[in-house]
Parts: sequence; structure tokens; C-alpha cells
Amino acid sequence: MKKLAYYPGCSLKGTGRAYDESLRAVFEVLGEPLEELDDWNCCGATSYMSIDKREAYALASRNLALAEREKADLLTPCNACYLVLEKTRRHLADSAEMGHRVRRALDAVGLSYEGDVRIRHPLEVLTRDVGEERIKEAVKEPLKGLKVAPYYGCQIVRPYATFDDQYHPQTMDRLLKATGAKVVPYPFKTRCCGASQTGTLPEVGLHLVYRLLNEAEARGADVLAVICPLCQFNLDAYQSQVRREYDLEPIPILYFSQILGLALGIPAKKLGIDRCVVSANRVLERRAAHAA
Amino acid sequence: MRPNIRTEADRSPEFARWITSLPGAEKIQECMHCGLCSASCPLFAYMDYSPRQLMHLGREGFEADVLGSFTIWLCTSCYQCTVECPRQIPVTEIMYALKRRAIEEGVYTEHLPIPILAREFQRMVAGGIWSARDDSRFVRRPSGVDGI
Amino acid sequence: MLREDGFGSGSTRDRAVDGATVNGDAPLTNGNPPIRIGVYVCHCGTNIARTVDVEQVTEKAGELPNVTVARDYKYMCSDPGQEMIKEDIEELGLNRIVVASCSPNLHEETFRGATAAGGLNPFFFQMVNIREHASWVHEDRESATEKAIDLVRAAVQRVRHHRALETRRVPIRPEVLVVGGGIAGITAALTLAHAGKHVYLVEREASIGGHMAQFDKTFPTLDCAACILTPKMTQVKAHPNITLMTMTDVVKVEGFVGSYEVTVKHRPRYIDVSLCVGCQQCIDACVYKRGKFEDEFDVGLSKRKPIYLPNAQAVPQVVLIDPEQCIQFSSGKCKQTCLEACDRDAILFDQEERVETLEVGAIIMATGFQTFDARRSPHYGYGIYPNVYTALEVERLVNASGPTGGEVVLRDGEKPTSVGIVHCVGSRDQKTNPWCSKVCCMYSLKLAHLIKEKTDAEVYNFYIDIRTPGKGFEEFYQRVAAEGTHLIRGKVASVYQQADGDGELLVDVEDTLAGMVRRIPVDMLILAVGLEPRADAEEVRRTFNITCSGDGWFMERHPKLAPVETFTDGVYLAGCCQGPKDIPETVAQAGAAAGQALALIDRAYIELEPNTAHVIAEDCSGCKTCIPLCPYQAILHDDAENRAEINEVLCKGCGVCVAACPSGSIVQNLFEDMEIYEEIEGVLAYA
Repeated sequence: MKKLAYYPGCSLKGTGRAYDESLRAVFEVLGEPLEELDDWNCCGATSYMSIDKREAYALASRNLALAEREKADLLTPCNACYLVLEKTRRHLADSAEMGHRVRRALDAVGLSYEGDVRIRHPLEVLTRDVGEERIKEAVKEPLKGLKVAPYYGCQIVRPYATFDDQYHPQTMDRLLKATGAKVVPYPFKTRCCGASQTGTLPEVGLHLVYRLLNEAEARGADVLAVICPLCQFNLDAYQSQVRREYDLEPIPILYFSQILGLALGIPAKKLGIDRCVVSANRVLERRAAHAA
Repeated sequence: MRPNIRTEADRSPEFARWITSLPGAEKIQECMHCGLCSASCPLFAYMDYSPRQLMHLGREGFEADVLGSFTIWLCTSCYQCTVECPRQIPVTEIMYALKRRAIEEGVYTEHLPIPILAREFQRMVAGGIWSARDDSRFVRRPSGVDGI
Repeated sequence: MLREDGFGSGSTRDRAVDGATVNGDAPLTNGNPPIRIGVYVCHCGTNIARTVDVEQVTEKAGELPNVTVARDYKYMCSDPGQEMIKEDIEELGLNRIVVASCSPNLHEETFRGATAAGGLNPFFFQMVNIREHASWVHEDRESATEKAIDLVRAAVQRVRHHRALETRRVPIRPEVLVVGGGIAGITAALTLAHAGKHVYLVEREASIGGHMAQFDKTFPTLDCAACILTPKMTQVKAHPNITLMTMTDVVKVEGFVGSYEVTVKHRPRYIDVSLCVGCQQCIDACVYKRGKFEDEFDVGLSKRKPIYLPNAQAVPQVVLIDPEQCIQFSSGKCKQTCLEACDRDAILFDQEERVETLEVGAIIMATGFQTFDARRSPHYGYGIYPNVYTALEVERLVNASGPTGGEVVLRDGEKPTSVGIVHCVGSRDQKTNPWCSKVCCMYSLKLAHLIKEKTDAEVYNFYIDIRTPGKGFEEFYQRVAAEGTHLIRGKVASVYQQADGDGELLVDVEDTLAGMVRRIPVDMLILAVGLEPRADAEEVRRTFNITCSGDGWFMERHPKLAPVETFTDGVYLAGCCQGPKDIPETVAQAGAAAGQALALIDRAYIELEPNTAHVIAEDCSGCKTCIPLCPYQAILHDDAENRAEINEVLCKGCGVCVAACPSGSIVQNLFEDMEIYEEIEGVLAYA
């Protein structure tokens, strides 16, 4: 496996801290400790792209250049970062004009980018490079009986389906199954969580969040597993607000890496599970019950 | 309320040319109005114009209608429309371009905070206003960005 | 039809033009009359004249050596255009003709004819393509004109060296091969057989009938497909002029128009076709008490045993055994109850594949289409949600001889109360197939009608455009609309099966006429899948040496004027292998293909282009270099004389031997060295 430079992105340093903690813990246990890319910067996300395209590409490409200097691929857990970096990578390869401008900008700070960096996602690395077999072997506390709804969000499979199926992604399903959990059918796997609309247009954003939560409940899920810090934030932090408007039972929202970490026997505290707004106790109890 | 009639004077051929010259957006001309973009859009219910109508208005050059529509500000860039479109119109990227143009031209829809948010986010990142703080390299302005 | 014109003939050694005597502008006499060339530049309406300055080309041509006259004309291919050539030959004593117009594919024959009509050997003619090679592919008028002048100059220099040639006639075999036994192949075969020609009808499946046999009613008249098709199928079987071969593949095609050698492979069906009478007692006796395997004819909606009849109306009415499924084949330890049950001893477990060679004069391709695999549009959930069907499956459901006896019921046996039909699945979509499949609008309306008639369900047709151009089609559309079918203009974006909805599906669609998204519950969703080339179309086209268009359909010789011919002489197209068609169009095209084949055969012979190669015996060293290189096995070695000999009937004029011959002793008509050198010099002599 080519060396991986871990690019957590801003969210994982803030609201998505638990994602960062659990990923580090899981990769550590699996014998592939994460090494953070030195001196990385914000990917620009969707907002920057709404203001200035050239600057947005330049901003993102700096991270590609840093990774290339380290002869590494980028390991990118956040959906938005993943897409922005992947889009930048493709755009620089396809558009000579943009490539030229961006290279000039990079040159000004003594960096260069030749196009030799792949953008990789933990789901891909865990299913392809590490492999489910190794994960199954490492599972210490199987999550038997835990019903999980896998929610991938939008930008990980759209517009590019790089490592998973665009309509019916499977990689997280496979990892969750490896923990012994039961994956319930979840037709809204890749539907929009509302993104920043929960903040800007609450009634719009909250309705989208409601549909996702309601579907998980209808499918009998104990927990919703997510891979994106913004999805997690929307589904978790806004859940009480949604429940004020709609009739719903609370449902914990965990990163897939937290669920995986529990199965690997990593202490809940180390996985940042206490950072959840909606209590994940029912998941922890399930594990405890099984252990007993 | 704006009367539901437009004359040719309402059209801006320059705007039509601009929108169809965006990368991949020449395909707007081939739109067959199947409505897949609209029906797959998670935010459709709250839009004034559907994405399909917006593409059509753009192609016809109705700049004021397009830039004044809050449809563009509802787009969350989930790319559902882009992957569904049978004519491969890059709807999401066009939405980005429309947002940029609306901001450039100062066309803000009144009750929506979204453009302001985008603007502020961009200023925050580009200006590096938190760069003094230790744990904020993610919002530091990477030097060289203004070189382009 | 060919005339000797008194000069330029003779053996190859005694050429009218000896390379050594041709120098620049020197007249080419060498004892023969001086060369007098007529050049004719065509406007092709505005096709050429819009981009190429034809007057300038004509003027420049007139200044070239040996050119006696140069003219331009609106349509050279018209009668007056041809007449002009003829008159000039007679009045001005021309002895070479150059026409600068379109592709030789289109009009070489025409102008050779005009040349001959004026009293010249038709091969004293050279054609220049300034349409496809200049006006159609360039935008800059000046450059296109210069290019046209260069091409004309090349032809003028080349034509001076042309010799009189004679065409050869070869006989045409009267038998015809028809590939594919759907309605197209059946129609073509019967037409030819009725005309007294012998037909080999080769079908890959175990029965003829094709897709049409699976349908229930046909639009727009709603007559029963089986009622009109089955008699044709039995006629095929009974016709003394038709040799029907099922479970047979064409593996090799050799030879040429009038004389094709076709190798076919008969796959074993493990039944002696001459003994089996289709009594089906073997099926009853099979150790499998019930059907276990997906029935292909019912598109998986019913089960069959390993020994089975392809379908109730199968022709031939003969069972077959699937060796992948039969216990005897997998273990060798079956009780062989079928064998006991067959009192005609027709079951042959040791039947082997058999190869046979057929000799035919013409071939008709009627290999059909396949329906779009709905899994390639995953957002519709086909293969995931049980209540999502393809239109072909529903054709079987509405069919009285189908798995439900014509009842439209869901997989759980319940009648649907709300049915959605999504048009254009796998059509008009850049991600799958960009073309319109032409038949889906009509068959979707037909299904809407039949389902309404049989179930009383609410039926929703989700369409992008309704396309009903055909006799009685629009009236049928009107009728279905009047029946209360919901016609919603928009393509379904997503299908969602509720957690507790008994398989009920919610579809989201923009009602584009109303400008709103509608969410509609249906308990049956039918995907109107489009038509596409068969998966092995590319392989088949190679076998038959024909071409495919970019989208993969077999390509016709001309989209308007030669819609059933291919670029390979003697190979014709019928039905959907050439592009989506409904049944009437398919039948019409099959009739046309049969007619073209008949016209060919009834000529009894064909004239071959004299562009063949021949060996100059005294120069040949007998080195045999050329022999293995010839793709047509046209070269033999004469051991007695130790030299190569080319069979000019087999030679296709590819020129490989000419280029390879170390002693330069092979010459090809119309491509002799001087002709080529002069052409090159001409095109490069930038004036």
C-alpha cells in the first residue's frame, strides 16, 4: 500500500472530533497508525466554490502538493473534503488552463504538483487494503444483534463513484457486517442530509433530517452509522429539534469507525462516544450485554 | 408580484451565452425536459423554480429570473441531479457558477442568509482571520493563493 | 455491355503507356492517338459548391496537360450531366474521363456507364471525391478549393495511364442463408422459399419465433401475436424449400457474393429431431417432479425442468435437454426416467456438436435485438424490489399462454391497484443508450390499455415525449388517453419501497406540465426498456464482414437509398439488427431484403470489378512469398512452371501480393505502378 497521509479536515478538528479519535484508534489497533499530513489547510468546502472557483482550486491543491512531496496518497474521511480534493485532482488533470494557474500559485510558495496523488477514503482502505478478513479476526466484542442503518451521504458517491457503487454503496455495509452487527435495508443511503441548510433554513434542513431519522426508525435500526461529519452533526445535534416537530424515538448517530472500534474492543471513551448529543448508551449496553 | 409575462426585452443574450459557455453547460441546449433533476432534488419542495426550469430560463437568457431565484441558494451540492441527467448537464456546477455570478452582481435574495454565509466563510478562510490561533491551520490562508 | 475501343488493350507487357516515355507534359502517344481528357466538376446542388469554388477548379483543370475540355455542372449524376459526357466523347474525341463529385461508392457505376455510353471502355474513367473528401469536411473555402484542385490534378495524371479492362462474370448460387428466426428471418425465408429459392434458416435458440412469440397483443390493432405468427412458423417448418436449423451458430463465412461458404455449428439438444414428436412424456417422467429452473421464454416468471419444450408454440415441436441442469450430465447417475418414457427412443445423451458447411449465394442477417438490462439504471430498483418489472415480463403476464394464464397479478398473486409505466428506460440517455427505441411509447400505451382492461388499476404512464408516428398509432394514443390513463410528462427519478407498505412503491417524478414534483404510490412499476444491439453484435459483424454504426447496430449501405444492403455485396439486413423497429417495419424490411437477394440471384451471375492482380509469368521466380500472404487463398504455385498463379475469381484486389513480391512481377489492374506514381505526383504538385 502506498503511504497514506491522513487529512482530517476542519470538521474533524471541531464538531467531528469523535470521527478523528475513533479513526485513529481503529487504525492503530489494526496495525496501520495514521500519520497526519503536515501543515494541511482547509479544502474550501462547497462555500468557497460558491465564491471563487480559481481560489478554491488553488486552496485545495495545496494539500495535494503537500502529499505529493511526502510521496503519499491522501486519506480523507470527510465527504466534503473527499469530493473537493477529488474534484480538484481531476480538474487539474483535465483543464490545462486551470492546471497552469494553480501550478503558478503553488510555485509562488515553493510547492509543485505533478498529479501523482490519489484521494482515498477510510472505507476504501479498510475494505480493500486492510480487508474484511483481517478486521473480522481483530473483532474482540462482536456486536451481535445490533441493528445498524448505514448512511453514506451524498458527496462520497456523487458525482464520482470512485470506490463504491453510486446507487447502492456497500463498503460500510461490509465493514458493519464484519463487526457482527445486522445491517438493515436503508433506501436513503445516499440521500441529502440538508447540509448547511439546517442552519440557514431550519424548516427545510430539519425536514430532510426528519426523513432520514424516520426511515431508520421504520427499518427498526438501533443506530444510524455515518461517514461524514456534517451528516453526523445534522442528524445528532438537530435531532432534539426535529423531535419537537415530529413524532420520533431518539436514535444514536455514530461514525462507522466508532461502531467498528467498539467491536475491536476499544474503550468507548477513546472512540469519543461520549461526545454524542443523543445518548449511544443502547449501543454500549448491547456490547456490555454480549460481553457478559 | 411580478407579472407572469416576459418580453424579449427581458432576455439577456449575453447571459444565455455565458451560461451555455460554462464547462459542460453547452449541454443545456440538449435538455429534453424530462424533469429528472427536479424530481431527484431533495430541496425541490422549497424552490421557486425547479432546476429544470432554471436551466431553461438560463438558456433563454432570463438573467433576472435566474439570479433572483432562491433555487440556486437551496442547492446543497448533493449532485443527485448531475448524476441523473440523461443529457449529462452538470447542473450542480452550473448552480455554483450561478451563485458566484449572483454574488458578483450583488443579487442577493432578501430573506436568505446563505450567500452571506458563503461570503463570510470565504473571507474567513482567505483572510486567515483566525490564523493567530494555534489549532486553526485549517483556516489559514495558504500563501500564494492570491498569486492567481 | 463491354466494348473494345481499339486502343489500350493488349497484354500487360504491351502497355499503351510505358513509364519511360512519360515525361512531364509530354503527350502520351506511343503509337496511340493522343490523350484527350474531359474533366467534369459537379456542384452537387450546393453540397460541393457551397464550400468549393467549382468554377475555379474547372478553370484550373482546363489548364492541365492533355485536358481537352473541363466543365462544371449542377448535378453531374443527372441525365443531362451524363449526356454531356457522352456527347463530349463523341464530338470532341475524348478518350479519358474524370468526374469530380461525390464518393465512388455512390456514383462510380453511373459515370462508368456514361463513359461506356459515349463509346469508351468504362475503365478509361477516374472519379474524384470532392464532396466527402473536401466540401463536407472543411470549412475554409479557399483551402477546400485548393484541395479539390490537387485531387483533380492527381486524377488527370493518373487517368492517362488507364487501360481498357474487362469485367469478369461469375455465377451466383441460388441458395440463401437467413440468420435468425424471428419475424424478420421468418418473413425473409418464406418470401424466398415461395419464389422457389432454397433457404437455410439458422436459429441460435431451440425454437424460431423470436421476441414476437413472447408478446400477447400487437399495437395498435391489438391482434394476437401468436395468432398471426404461429402459422408462419409452421409454414417455415413445412416448406420444402426451407432447411430449418435450430440451436445452430454460424462460426465462419468465407467466399464472396454469389458464392459464400458458411460453416455452421449445430449444438447438441440431446434429442433426435427426426424422431421426437413433442409428446412431452419425457418431461412428465423427469425425476424433477416440478419445474426448478428459470424458464427463459417466460423471462424467469415460471420454472421448467432440465428437459423441456421451449414454449407451447415452439417450432420445431421438439424438446431439448439443458446439460448444465440435467442430473445425468452432472453426475451420470440419474435414473433416466425420461429415456424409459420415450417410446420413440429420441433421447440421445451422447449427441455431439456437429459442424456443416453450406454454400449460398446471398445472406440475410436477421439477428434481432436484446432488451435493455434494467439493472443498468439502478435507481429504479429492478432486481431489488420485487414489484418492479420489465415490459417484457409484463408481456408474459398479460399473455394468455403466459405463466399466469393472462392474469395481471403481482408476485404474491394479488391484482395491482396502481400501476406505473416508466418510458425511456435505457433510451434517450447518454449514460446508457442515447437513441430513441421507437417501439416503447406504443407498447407502453398498449400495456396501459391491457392492464386497465384486466385489472381496473389506476395506470400512470410517465413519459418524456409520446412518439406515435405510424398508421393508426396516434388514434391508439387518443384511445388510451380517453380510457383515463394518467399521462404524466416527466421521467421517474426515484423509486422507494416503504418499510411497512406491503411492497408498495413510492415514485417521485416531476410533472413537468404542472411544474411540480409528484409522489405517487404504485404496487407495480413497469420499466419500458429500450432496444439495443445484441451483446455479440460486434463478433457477428466480424464473422460476416459487415459494419456497425457507432451505436452498435448493423450498418446499412445507405440510410435512405440502400437501407437493406450492407457494404458487403450479397449480405442484406432485415429487422432490428439494423436498428429499433416495430413489427410492420420489420416485416417490410425483411421482404425488401428477400427481394434484393432475389434480384441478385435471378441475375444468375455478377460482374466483378476488374481490379484483380495477375502474375507476369516470365518475371516470377517462384519464391512463393505471396502465397501465404493472400487472405483469400487465391494464389497457387504452378510446380511445373515454378511460378505463382492468381485465380482472378478469388482475388479481391487487396494488393498485398503486389506489395510483397520481391521481383515486382505482380501487377494489379487499376493500381499499376505508373497510375499510382502519377497520382501521387499529381496530388503533390502544388500549383
